Amino acid sequence: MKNVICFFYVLLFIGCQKADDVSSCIPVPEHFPDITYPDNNQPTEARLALGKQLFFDTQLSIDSTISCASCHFPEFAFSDTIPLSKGVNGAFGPRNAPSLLNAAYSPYFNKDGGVKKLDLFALVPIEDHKEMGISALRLTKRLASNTALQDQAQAAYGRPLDAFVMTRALGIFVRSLNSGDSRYDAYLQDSMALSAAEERGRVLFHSPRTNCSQCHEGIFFTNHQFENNGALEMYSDQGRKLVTAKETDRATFKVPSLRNVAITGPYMHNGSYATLEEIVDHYDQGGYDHPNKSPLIQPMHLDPQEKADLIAFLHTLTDQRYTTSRSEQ
Amino acid sequence: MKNSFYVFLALLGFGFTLISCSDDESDNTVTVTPTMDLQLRVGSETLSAGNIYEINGTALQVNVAQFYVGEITFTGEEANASEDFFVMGTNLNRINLPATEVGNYDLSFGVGVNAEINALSEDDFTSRPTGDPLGMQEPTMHWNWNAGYKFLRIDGMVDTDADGIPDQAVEYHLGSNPFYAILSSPEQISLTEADPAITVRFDLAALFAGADLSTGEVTHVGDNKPLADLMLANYTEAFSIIF
Ligand code: HEC
Ligand code: HEC
Repeated sequence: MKNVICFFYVLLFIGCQKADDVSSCIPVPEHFPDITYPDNNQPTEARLALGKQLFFDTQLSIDSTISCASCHFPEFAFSDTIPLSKGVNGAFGPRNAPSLLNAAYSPYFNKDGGVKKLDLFALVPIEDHKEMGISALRLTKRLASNTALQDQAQAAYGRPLDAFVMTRALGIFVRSLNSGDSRYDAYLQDSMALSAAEERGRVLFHSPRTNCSQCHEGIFFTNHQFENNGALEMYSDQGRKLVTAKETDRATFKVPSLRNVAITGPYMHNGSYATLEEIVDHYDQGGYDHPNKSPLIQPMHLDPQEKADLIAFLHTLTDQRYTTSRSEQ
Repeated sequence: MKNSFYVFLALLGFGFTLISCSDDESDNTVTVTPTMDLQLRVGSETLSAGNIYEINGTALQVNVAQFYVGEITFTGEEANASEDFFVMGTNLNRINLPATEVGNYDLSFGVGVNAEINALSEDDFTSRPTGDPLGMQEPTMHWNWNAGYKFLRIDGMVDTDADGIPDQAVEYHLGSNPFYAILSSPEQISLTEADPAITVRFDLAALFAGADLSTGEVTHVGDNKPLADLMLANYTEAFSIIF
């Protein structure tokens, strides 16, 4: 585990050599759109370094046991490996921790889209009593005597380490987590071919037979809409309705990106699906009925070969930089 | 003897414009610095944090009761509108208002924060200095999971098994733009040199009129819109002006 994190640090510093050119701090894959930063939070090396430091710091939780990385593991594409993540005092929240890769491209955050600013996001886990459980004001007081962090905050933002600095620095760090180096990306850039099975899976994924790409669309495999895909027979989570208060949004969830999906299980908003095989079987059968289920989800009658092809394609979306295997190379 | 009148409620999706219609100002007017004083009540009892009250037959222990008040506007010959917002409630029951000439006024104020502030644009509550009511509060007055302010926050414990002892933690939090309410007094208030105070009464029992708290139901708007709507509709009875 230690190795993985070290490797990851090295990786991030590569992009940050030219101190005068801030955008070089966070290199973006050539075939990805540029990332836009708010005027008051342009990326710099100091901000990125502070954000990274905070991400792995357990002092950000009330009992100093939990860091962001306790639920977002770098070697699992910054997702958690269990259905529901454990926060402070052994509490479990209601949702599965997603991958943070390419979050910079999302228009809103969380499965119900309630959070509109990545630069404010960190307060969600920090102040949630089922995650890190500490008020940002109390955390600010706690860290006031940490001279190393205070120096970093001054260097990065010219002010003490307060809620503004913490949320902004973590916002910069999360934006640095872009992933566009999978076999599928190599295929898109014409530098590698897919195997026959993967290619059949790719075509099937993008076909009206499956409708997968209607929702898991484009280069990030999401249209950023809120849908019900019939995953559960009973939904205890109201999903998007929590934000909009509309019945038509009940039990709809943000369409997740499928990048790195082979290593981000378990799946769905509550982690109730363990494998990609289960998911493909679910879609093949058309899912459970729900008043808000998308009409795009219909029984498909795939044969075993087609199911295997779809899964083979999903495996091409893994960026080896964010897996355990890479650190062993 | 104190009289009171209830306020009118106007819901605004977005800001509003004030029309001022005075073009001449007299020179020898007296200016006062009014205060707004809040009386917290549960029916006829005084509301204080930590105490248990009976509301619609259910015991409710109130731990937090607070809300934003802002855009306090006196409209007389001229409109005198404040752009400030304050957190009033169990922690703060008096605010100072900008200097105003003595006279008779129509009074209106918002409960919540307006859409512009609630948008949390580039500068948000984390950018504001400590002590700024729109900055970070303890207890918090912002919703992390649904980026925006909590306009009104009631926290406590209710009795769900009818033994008179509160046993379940509850939160009744209202927020989001459609819940910004402008309340206006149906009668003019008079600001005099001797009495430049405005007293607003907030009655928690009236806020929950028609609600059955014994079920333990809570609301953060989206998870329980019917209860949130009921509370909002009750604002006109829950807020009154004492004179
Ligand atoms: C206790 C586990 C836990 C901790 C600790 C935690 N997270 Fe999360 N994170 C989650 C869960 C669960 C979600 C999904 C929540 C939802 O959809 O409502 C999530 C979602 C996110 C998202 C939104 C991703 C998206 O695309 O919608 C971001 C960004 C994020 N976390 C960053 C962080 C940061 C930064 C920290 C540290 C300050 C952190 N998390 C700490 C569990 C955790
Ligand atoms: C109507 C839109 C829609 C269509 C069509 C669709 N999905 Fe999904 N998909 C979703 C939503 C929404 C979720 C998240 C549901 C949840 O969180 O409960 C999801 C989740 C997933 C997940 C789990 C990802 C994770 O990180 O939890 C996988 C894998 C997946 N879909 C693959 C597919 C495949 C393969 C197809 C085609 C057979 C497909 N989807 C078709 C909307 C759709």
